[in-house]
Amino acid sequence: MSDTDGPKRARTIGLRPHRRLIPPDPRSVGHDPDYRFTLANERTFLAWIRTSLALAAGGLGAASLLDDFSGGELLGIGLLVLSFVTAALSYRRWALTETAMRLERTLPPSRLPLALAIGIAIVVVAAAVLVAVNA
Amino acid sequence: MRPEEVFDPLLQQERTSLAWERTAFAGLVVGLFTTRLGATMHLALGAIGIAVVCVSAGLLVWAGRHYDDLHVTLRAGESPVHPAAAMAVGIGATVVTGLATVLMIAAAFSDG
Repeated sequence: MSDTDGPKRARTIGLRPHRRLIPPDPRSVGHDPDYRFTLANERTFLAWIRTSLALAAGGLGAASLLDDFSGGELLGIGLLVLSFVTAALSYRRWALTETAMRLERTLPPSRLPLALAIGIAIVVVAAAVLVAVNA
Repeated sequence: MRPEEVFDPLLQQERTSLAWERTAFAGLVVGLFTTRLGATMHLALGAIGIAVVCVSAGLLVWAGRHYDDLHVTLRAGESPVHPAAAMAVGIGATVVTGLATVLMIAAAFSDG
């Protein structure tokens, strides 16, 4: 992290595209934070991975179990796309948070909870519409 | 290495170890489900499912061992940070969910 002029939080602006998704090893900067913070960050990361896996299970279930339900595959694909986005951004989130902790900066906020909530709400509303149409 | 006593009265590393094990269980469920689907929908899904089950079972055993090993790390005053494990799980979950999405879209299109 060389952007010391900007707001005091870990950022990925200016990094090469693959580095934005997979930020550098946090151990390359700063110093070890309180081990409890590191473990809390790890547990949060794992909770995101489980959320992604739960969405994947829901997506695969919707696509296969709703066989005689028109639009079931579409619901499944919607949940799988959300699952993929969640998984793809979870390591980035972990690494940025760990880096901020090591630099004693404020932790970077995430748009993922709001984006996920909106995404799931859209899938659920679509499911309700499909249930009404199929009834 | 088996610890003789717990390092932290707040049981931080035990909670983290349980989080790893819950994640491995979630992986096992997704893997078994994907394997079951593969039998009826798409053989590639079955192969992905079996791979996910194997990796998740390995992760489960690793999580248990890692819990014991963390006592040594924490007593030595070292950071328990483990970027390789986070990256492996993060990239693994991304690849699996990405492949499942692509295969499901392909299946939807091939059905018309």
